[in-house]
Amino acid sequence: MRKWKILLCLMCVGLLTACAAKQANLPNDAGDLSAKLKQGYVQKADNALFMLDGSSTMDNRYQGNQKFSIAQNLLQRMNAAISGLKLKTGLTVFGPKRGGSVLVYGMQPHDSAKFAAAVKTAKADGLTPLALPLTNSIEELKNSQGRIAVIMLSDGMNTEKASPVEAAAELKKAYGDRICIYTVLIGDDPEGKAALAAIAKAGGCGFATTADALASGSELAGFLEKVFLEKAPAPMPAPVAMAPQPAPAPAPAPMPMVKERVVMRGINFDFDKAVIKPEFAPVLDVAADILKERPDLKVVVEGHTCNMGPEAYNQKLSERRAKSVYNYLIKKGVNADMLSTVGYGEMQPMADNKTRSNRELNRRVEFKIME
Amino acid sequence: MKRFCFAISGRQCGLIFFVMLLAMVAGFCGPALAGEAVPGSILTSFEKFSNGWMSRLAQVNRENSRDLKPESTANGRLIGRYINYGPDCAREVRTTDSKATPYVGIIRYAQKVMEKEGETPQKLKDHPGAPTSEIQVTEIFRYTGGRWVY
Repeated sequence: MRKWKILLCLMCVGLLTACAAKQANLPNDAGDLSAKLKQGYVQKADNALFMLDGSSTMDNRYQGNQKFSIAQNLLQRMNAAISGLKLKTGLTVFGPKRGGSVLVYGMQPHDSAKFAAAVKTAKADGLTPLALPLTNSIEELKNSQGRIAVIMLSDGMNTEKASPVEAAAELKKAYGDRICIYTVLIGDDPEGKAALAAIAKAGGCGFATTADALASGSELAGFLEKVFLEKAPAPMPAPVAMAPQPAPAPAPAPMPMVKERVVMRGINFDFDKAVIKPEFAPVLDVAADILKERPDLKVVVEGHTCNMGPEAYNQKLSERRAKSVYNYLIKKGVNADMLSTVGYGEMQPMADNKTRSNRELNRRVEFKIME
Repeated sequence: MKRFCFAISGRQCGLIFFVMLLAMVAGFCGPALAGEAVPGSILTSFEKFSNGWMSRLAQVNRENSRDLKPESTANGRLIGRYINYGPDCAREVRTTDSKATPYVGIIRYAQKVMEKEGETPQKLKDHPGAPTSEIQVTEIFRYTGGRWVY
């Protein structure tokens, strides 16, 4: 009996340690990058191709977290920060069982909800063909106009014969000054770090960094600022004689931005169930009324959990919560065309998960009203 | 009753009648109907609850501000960003037709991305922080089983 008690205590300590080690990033913690456009900055990239390493080594853990989850989390934070920029984006997941390297999203005008869904559904398996996504991107980017940022998130563990540095050089050669390559190391493997640094160097104007260096919101914002923004040039003096100018191209439609968050509290499903109980209904009815007042806007219904319990379970739980709320809102007459759902699991907490109070803040269903 | 009303002013009598009516609505009439007046006791309890909720967010703000990691800018200055909730909020309580959840409480506040800057880590720390972007947050709570549920 005594042995069982000791074993139970050790399991609890292990669970708590694992919980404490989880990353505690804030939603939108890097802020809204587009806000900088009003502060003397201009965009220096018109396209962004994200490359997510989906190989089996990304299934390994780093500082208590699965490396692939660290990369997914980082991508979701980047996604939130760039949602207001005028960008075409793409997401490539590379790993042999996925056909080597697959463009799972884009290239298309950035839609943060769809991008988030693509990140969420990506899986890790197989070997690591670091060169393949770079080689394939030459074709994937062929219709892009303007400048391009390639951002690769990987542990850098190349297992294929093709040289990723040569592939990066080919990509650079294909697009010249239009393209910069940035790499983000997931983990701390020295060989992986060197490999990613060499890839970034081959891109000429990009640079290499690590997920550790982007842990805080300000660090991530700083990185994204360097990738996507630059100081606006000083205004040119007016020419003496004006040459006839071609008619300006019509401005592209503005990209959706988060305008408002509506958080529905007390939507606490029973274990392993997703039934909307009668007592939840008044909260959801208020939410439905808010949506009906704004029929022209796009809304993303999101499920969020704290970090207690298995990560995979939390992910499924958040998806079920979001879907149940979505179904209820449709029944209440909210236009289905304006709604989409995303389950974020524990990836977008409102606060760190170190205290019970903060974990309660993090368990929620909310929707984001997009402008 | 007549003697009681004589003992107090007509205005006081009316007030007592109103309070009794509220008590009946709250205590004997089952769930409130949507659009009915919200009892004072419910308003008070939601004010207390929401004050506690905003205090939680204030604590998160302090942690976010304290834990921000500075970064160097091109001109050698340091900047750091963090999320700030509130501190001001607007409250509202609505009646519903539900037996299980006769009231819902709503809090509205701002979520701001704050930026601090300074030439040194100490000056960055001392900087009060300036908002760079802001969105509105609405939180909806339910009153079930005699308490506010989150």
